[in-house]
Amino acid sequence: MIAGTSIAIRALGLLCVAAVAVGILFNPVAEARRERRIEQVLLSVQEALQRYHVQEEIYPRRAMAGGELIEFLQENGHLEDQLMNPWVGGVYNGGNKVDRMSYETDGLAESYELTVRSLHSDEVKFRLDSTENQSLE
Amino acid sequence: MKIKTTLLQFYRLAILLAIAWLIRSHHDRIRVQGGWPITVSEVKAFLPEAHRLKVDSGERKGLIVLDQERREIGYAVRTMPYCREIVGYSGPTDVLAVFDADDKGVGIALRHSYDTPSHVEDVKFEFLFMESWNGRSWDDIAEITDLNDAQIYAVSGATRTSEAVAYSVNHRVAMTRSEGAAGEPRHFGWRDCLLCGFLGGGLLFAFQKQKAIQRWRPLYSIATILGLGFWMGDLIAQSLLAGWAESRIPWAATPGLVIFVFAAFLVPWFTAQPLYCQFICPHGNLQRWFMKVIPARWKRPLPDDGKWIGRLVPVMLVMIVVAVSFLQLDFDLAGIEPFDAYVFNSAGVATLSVAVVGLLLSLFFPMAYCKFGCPTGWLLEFVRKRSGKPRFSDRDWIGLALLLLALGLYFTPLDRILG
Repeated sequence: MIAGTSIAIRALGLLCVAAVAVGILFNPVAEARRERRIEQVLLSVQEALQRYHVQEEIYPRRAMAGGELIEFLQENGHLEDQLMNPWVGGVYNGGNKVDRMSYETDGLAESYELTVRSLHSDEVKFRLDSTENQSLE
Repeated sequence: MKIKTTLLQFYRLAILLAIAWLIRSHHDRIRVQGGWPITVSEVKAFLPEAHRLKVDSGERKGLIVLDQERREIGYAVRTMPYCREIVGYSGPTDVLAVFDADDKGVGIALRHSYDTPSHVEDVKFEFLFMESWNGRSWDDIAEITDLNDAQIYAVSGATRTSEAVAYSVNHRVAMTRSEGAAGEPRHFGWRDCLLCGFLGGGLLFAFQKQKAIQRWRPLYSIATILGLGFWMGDLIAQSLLAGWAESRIPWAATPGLVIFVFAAFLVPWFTAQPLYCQFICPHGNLQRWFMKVIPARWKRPLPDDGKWIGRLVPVMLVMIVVAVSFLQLDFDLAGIEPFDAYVFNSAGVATLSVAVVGLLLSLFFPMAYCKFGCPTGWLLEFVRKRSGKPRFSDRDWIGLALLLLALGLYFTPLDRILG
């Protein structure tokens, strides 16, 4: 027979162990979810960039942060969807404080590079470009 | 009673094997399907009877198409990620190719493309091109080296995109031939011999209780710590077991390690003797030496509630391993155990911390890590034959819960969990 206090202690212990498990898994799961959202954003932006390229025969000329690029592509009618910022939620646009995506092009705007850096460091997590890394798979 | 004992033993082994099989099958599915799984509805466009897709982990690495009666009615493959290097105008294209039961092409579809959208649209609506594979057998397609010779003509205005599509299909089909499972040569090296030697030593001390033999046990214990641990770094760990479950058991590359791990599970299962935990494990042996450092009067027994809570820790860790494996989380499993700490130059902070804290605790609470922290030990203990009256214990319920967790993760699409 287990005493009432024992049951309470064990229940508390079980809760603590479960909390530790959640604590251990929380960040990796959040990161995996974020990475999936980033992939979706990258694919939409990449497709819009290709549409822009077909029409203008060059890629956008200047380097931009992700949100700025999205606004630019939307203003020009190459991106219709409203994208969500994968790091902070909400509409992804130039006003976002947290934006780890960046766009670059060469001097002639004939190629592009989209990079996404880690939230906590400068490590490149995703790279999608028109020369070497042409897919996310 | 004997039948009940046997049934329980088979139940325990079956639980572990079922979880390992689910992990393997899940990873086979991911390997074949990649990041953009083919759905039944996509295949239905070509094989209207399609009802289910079964992963073929064989050399074709595709999907067997089944009808409602579970008859094989065709085969489907996607070209990505295998053909990611085949680029059209500005990127590769993921193509679905479907074959009927006679292995003849019934159609292709462009699933997703990194290529210029307008060119992709041009190819998609050029039916003559899109039907070029219809009626051709898998082998015929695999043999195509020149598109014109095979009367597959590129789409005007989208030449590079359509050629990339055509080459992707051909390459994906031909790939299974060049990759043909040329068996890896078996290699039984000195490491394998040493592992078998350590195993033999463990068996000797576990089953031969004569004083003349047991007097050598301290020496063997030191040899496991220095040799198996610090020198070879071959400790059974969750990262190793999960890796084998996810990919394959390296029979050819490290047969000694395979025999070692199998013996660690099967000897206790057959004989009730905790061979690995009690005799071989370097970390267990190191804790046994640590126990002797401090006088017995300084040691503190844990209260029953503390023991009960402590025993939940390894279970929680096994659950984490299952979740990490199914969800493919970016989480180093080596960090939840102390075993990688024996390989100094590659040990991470987490594994070193677990090792040091575990050893310090063992000064005051004998074998604390083994009892209240080791998920690998929990698995080995789970399958171990028990003495006494056979009964479905808490451990067996926990095993069932683990299997249910694995089944839940296996049948829930990743998208639903990871968004």
